Amino acid sequence: VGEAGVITDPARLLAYESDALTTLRGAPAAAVFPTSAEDLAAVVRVLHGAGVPFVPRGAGTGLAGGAVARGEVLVCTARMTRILGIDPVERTATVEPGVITAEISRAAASHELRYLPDPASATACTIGGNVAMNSGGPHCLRHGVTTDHIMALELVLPDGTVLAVGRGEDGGLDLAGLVIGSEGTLGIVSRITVKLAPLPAAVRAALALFDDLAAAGEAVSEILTSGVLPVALELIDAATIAVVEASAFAAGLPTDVAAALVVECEGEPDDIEAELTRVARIVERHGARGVRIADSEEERARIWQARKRAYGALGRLAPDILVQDAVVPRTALPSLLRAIERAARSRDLRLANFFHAGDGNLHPNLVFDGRNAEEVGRVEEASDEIMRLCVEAGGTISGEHGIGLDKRKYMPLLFTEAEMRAQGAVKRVFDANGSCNPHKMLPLSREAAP
Amino acid sequence: VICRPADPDELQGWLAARDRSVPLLITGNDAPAARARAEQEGADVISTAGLDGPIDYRPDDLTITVGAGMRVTRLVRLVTERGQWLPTGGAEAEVRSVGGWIATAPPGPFDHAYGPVGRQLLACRVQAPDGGRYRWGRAVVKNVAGYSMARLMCGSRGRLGVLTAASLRVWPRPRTSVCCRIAGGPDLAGMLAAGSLPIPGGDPEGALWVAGAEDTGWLMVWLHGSERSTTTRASGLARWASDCGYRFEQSAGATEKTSDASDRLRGGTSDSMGERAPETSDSRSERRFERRFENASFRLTTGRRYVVDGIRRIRETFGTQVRQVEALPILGLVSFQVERAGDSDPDTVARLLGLYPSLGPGLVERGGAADLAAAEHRRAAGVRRTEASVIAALGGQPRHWLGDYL
Repeated sequence: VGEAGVITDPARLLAYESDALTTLRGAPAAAVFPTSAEDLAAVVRVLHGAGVPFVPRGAGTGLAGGAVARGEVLVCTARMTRILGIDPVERTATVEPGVITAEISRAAASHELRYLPDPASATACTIGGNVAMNSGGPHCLRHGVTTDHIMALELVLPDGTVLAVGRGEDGGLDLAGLVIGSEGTLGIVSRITVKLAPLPAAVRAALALFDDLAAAGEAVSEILTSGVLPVALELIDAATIAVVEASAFAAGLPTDVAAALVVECEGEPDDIEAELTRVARIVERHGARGVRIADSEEERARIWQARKRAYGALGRLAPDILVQDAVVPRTALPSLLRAIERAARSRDLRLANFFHAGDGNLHPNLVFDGRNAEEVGRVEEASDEIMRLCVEAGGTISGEHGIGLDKRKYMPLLFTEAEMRAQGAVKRVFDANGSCNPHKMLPLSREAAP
Repeated sequence: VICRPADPDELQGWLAARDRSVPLLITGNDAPAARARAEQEGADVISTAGLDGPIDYRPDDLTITVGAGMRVTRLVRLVTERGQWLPTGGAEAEVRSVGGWIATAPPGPFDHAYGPVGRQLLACRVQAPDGGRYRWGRAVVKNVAGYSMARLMCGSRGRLGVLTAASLRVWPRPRTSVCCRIAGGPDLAGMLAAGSLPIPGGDPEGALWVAGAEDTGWLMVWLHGSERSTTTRASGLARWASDCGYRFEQSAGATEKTSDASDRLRGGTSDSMGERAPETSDSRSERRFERRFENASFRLTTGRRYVVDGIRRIRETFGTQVRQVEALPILGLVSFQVERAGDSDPDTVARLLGLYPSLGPGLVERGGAADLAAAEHRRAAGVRRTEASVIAALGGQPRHWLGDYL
């Protein structure tokens, strides 16, 4: 990779101490930047030969500490940015892992095609990172998550050998499906073939305002069982609206409401019209104060602004944010939201919720000052309680951010000892020495659970 | 020996006591063909027929958890009664049980719009041959905690163990579903695959081409949406068909149940739509299911651009022996049956192997052991080794656990 492809200077490595979860940090031994699949395999072979463990990293936008290296070498795929080919007939694109996710759709647009998954960080995160985390996004309600759009992968195994895996064609196992969401613990993806889909005929968004958050949650359930299939159903609570409206990202939302619901539909104009009319009737029945249906692209962008800018705006409240990520059955949303609020308020913590309501995918955001150890302790306590509540409601501890370092301790809430042993055995099939992203995802023991 | 457990504990006990050197075959719901095959192979049989019925149906959450032995036809009927839908795409004609549907993961005409079996499966419970018992996933629509083990079970054909229960995503039933049929040969399938069939609004929600006699056939497309938009789209397609001289038909009821339409059309001959004596959906599925085992069944992954070539080369290769040729043009798949050919017949396998080198990515089996061997030919040695290690890591049995999970 040459000298330009390696960083060992501790000062320059400071930028690689964490991913987007800045409370979890570590000092990598070095960062290496291969620029091709062949270089990547060669780098991994060298590390394997020297017995040096390594951590794969894309753009570092992850929210679970999955790309934190503590003495390991970071293998960064961010310079593997080539789109190797687009096949408009087969509707596929083959790309390197460092391609920015949004760039795939941009490149496919001339063929009137697009790549459907749209994580909130799509303009910054890489497709390799999305594969590692099985990323979702606001529009995965209708379109599905990353695994639903990957056709094949080329994987550099932890010993440097290269394996091309598919989705179980030819009577095989869905090894690509196993690798997707494995958080870089089974190897490093070096080439990815994604599915592309036709551009929609039309897209429209609507905004409904509620005086009661629980009523908004109930409206979500009714919309989804009514036969309407929106591509996105997003909820924003009062605390989030207040902070967005006080920021440079103000979207013109009233600050005296309890919740705002963003609904987006796409497809044939007649279908969208029918679906949004139906949505309007449902939300009004659940007490919505008003419904605004966007008539232009500008208005649609304004409707989305509060949701998309919320994370940045929260920086006004405190230096640090813990973005929690859990999924519960949708009908449990109203009671869970109340319980989560109690968990935060009882510990004197500030909470803001904006989340993928259609998927039951909660993102309670706890804002705090990481320099205040006592406050950090209260945040950890609240997080523990939130995770327990979600699992007790029949849910799971992560819908799209992953486990990384951050949530390993919660894994025993979901998995028995035998299930964790089985996953450990699968890890060893790919990584017998445990050198690929060590200490991530799989917990050390059940005793570590809160 | 046939084990028909009433619950997972009984299954675990039976597995612990059995001689593990005897091959084992799993059948989802007492399929006679599976029992015949077990006899031929000298295998023990596990039937999951006793692991039947709904366990937890939550219509408001759009999820349902059922025993793996539940018949797919019964599951579809259950959710339909609540105004909901499962995009099985007629899979009930290929497999009987929910476990069989997951374990064989047959592609269907709605996969491109609603996702394959793997997207519908949210969680499952598995009994491994070595006694391990696992629950993978939860009955929620997103989950990235741990490895995607539930996904791995899809298409695993019993090699990783016996599915005992499954949690599935259900969908709101499409407000209107219109099924259109256009009479035409493989070229029609090719036009849809190439994106040159002018269907207003782009891809239909479902698509299937079924061969008729000689070079004829029917392209079936399903349009979902509001009554107005489906009517507009169907009318546009009808106009185009008329202009080009194609015969066009449309399902009588605009709100016809998708599963019924699929089953009726796939089960009928090319000229029988609407002309058969009334027959229940169950009996149609059953008849088709049984017929599958009179012949050897195969599926080719051709890619979209090779769909037409695939259909023609299958006919050239197998001549009058070929039956039930179907294509999923948007997925780039062609499936067919070879009459009176054992799926272990070396000549059949040799002819299959000669078929695919020019036809895109590969051959996919859906029959028995020999075509599985033929399919393995396509997989790299490293992939096969990795698969075998994963199966072993999860307590499965790649060789003695026959993967014909019906």
